[in-house]
Amino acid sequence: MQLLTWLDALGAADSSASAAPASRRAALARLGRAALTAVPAAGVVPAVAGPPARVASITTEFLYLALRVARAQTALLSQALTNNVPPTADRTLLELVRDTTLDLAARIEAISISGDALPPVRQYSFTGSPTGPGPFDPNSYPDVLLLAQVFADTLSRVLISALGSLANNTAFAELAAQLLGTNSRLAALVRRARQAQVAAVQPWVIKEEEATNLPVVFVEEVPVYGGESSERIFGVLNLAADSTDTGAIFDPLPAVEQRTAAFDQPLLPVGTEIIPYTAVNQLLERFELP
Amino acid sequence: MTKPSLFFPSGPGAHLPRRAFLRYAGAASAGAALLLATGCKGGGDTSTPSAPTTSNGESVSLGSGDVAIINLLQAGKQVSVLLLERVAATLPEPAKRLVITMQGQQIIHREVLKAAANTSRAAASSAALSLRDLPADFNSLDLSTPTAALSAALGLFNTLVAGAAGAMRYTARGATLTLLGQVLSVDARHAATLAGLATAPSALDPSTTGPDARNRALTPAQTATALNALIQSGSRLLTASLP
Repeated sequence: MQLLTWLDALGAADSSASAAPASRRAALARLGRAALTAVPAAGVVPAVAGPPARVASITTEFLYLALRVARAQTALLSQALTNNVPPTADRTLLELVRDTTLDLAARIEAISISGDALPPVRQYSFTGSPTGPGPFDPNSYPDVLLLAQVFADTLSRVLISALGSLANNTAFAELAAQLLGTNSRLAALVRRARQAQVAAVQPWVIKEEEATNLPVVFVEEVPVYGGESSERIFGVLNLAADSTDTGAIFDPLPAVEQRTAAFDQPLLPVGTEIIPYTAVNQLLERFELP
Repeated sequence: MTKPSLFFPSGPGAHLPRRAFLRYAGAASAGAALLLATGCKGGGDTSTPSAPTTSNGESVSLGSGDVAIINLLQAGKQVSVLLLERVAATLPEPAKRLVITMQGQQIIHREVLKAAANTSRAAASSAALSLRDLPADFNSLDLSTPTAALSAALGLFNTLVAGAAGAMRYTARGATLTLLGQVLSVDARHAATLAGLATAPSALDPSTTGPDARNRALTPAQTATALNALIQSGSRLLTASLP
């Protein structure tokens, strides 16, 4: 990618916030959330200390997407702990992950929106198929760890996705980053626990070997988990490519696996989306009961 | 050997679409374009100017705006790369390999942030300059045992994560915010890994007070002050102009 192409893309990224209202309407229409279109360009009043009183609704929609993932994570781990799925040695760790994720969710829920409502609380089936037998066994500890890793990584990716649209709401960018900082620690803890069972797993997202071991539901034609690969910075420059740009940045050029593992990746919106509803819906629809 | 510029492709047929470039650079003069052309990797970088050293050993300007934020993080990466090298030397396998992998990722962050500072210069300010190499000073740290060394590194990574979180409030561009988030997220994974190697797994920055799962956030000035404790006097970051 040439420099000016990169800069063009960066400029486009910066314009995303101003383009947000139309795309948001499109996204909401796709979701059938017609009621929300009546909400005026939504002011929100954060109950948490710090951020200013009013921000654009797109901010909280990002946070609510993160909330849905956090709720799935806490439900998964609560169910596993209740059913004594984790071995005794790992129980404290999973309680830590569950309780901290619960607090992260509470921080998001504490943000009140005028005219909008929190996402409804859902029931879950962690078999991976709400309507019948799926590929996962919620009473299998390896399966629980795998799903906990997927949810934790995805939550971080949602929060990273939010940041690019928060240039005009940097107090909320700070809040999203604070949530991200804690959640990515949790993701690393889950991955370390899973590393004891699958040696290829690392505390950070890796590009190759691990991905090929993922269940097929995560590597279908529109992969919701992306096979773990994390290839882009700025959402633009492809670190996986041995391009002129990557060659100019690094001396010597690190291996592609090292380059891509060094950055967590935003969830990419589909079509005209600003908020990556499609990706999160693709993931959660396998676990949220209708 | 001089490497090709990230910003201005070289070789036959390479040319600069000047109009588009000027639009982004906001530079109406050929002089500004010339400055950019000479400010890229490959031996042409112009380092941050050294101001008169302050009484607490500060002399290195980080620039302003998003460039200052990116340079601040780049300074943190310079320190973390050097510290992880010292930490790895204290460790047995397999922890050593894990820390060396982390160091490799920190090097990648450092180089990408350097490139980003140059890009932000093109996009935002012709006056922004690259950050020069900063000599570390770890005399204040206990690196004598694996546990002590890991704890020291954990302290630095907790600072980097909190610094990136706090920098969000002072960042103007969406692309910069995304980059900071991508780096912050991996730094948080490094912090949790170091915590697990040092003592016990922790989900929180231990400096966090109260039952709050939100990560700490430091202002850029606070972050620079924390980093200055690990940088040699005379080469420390100027904090007075930072928010």
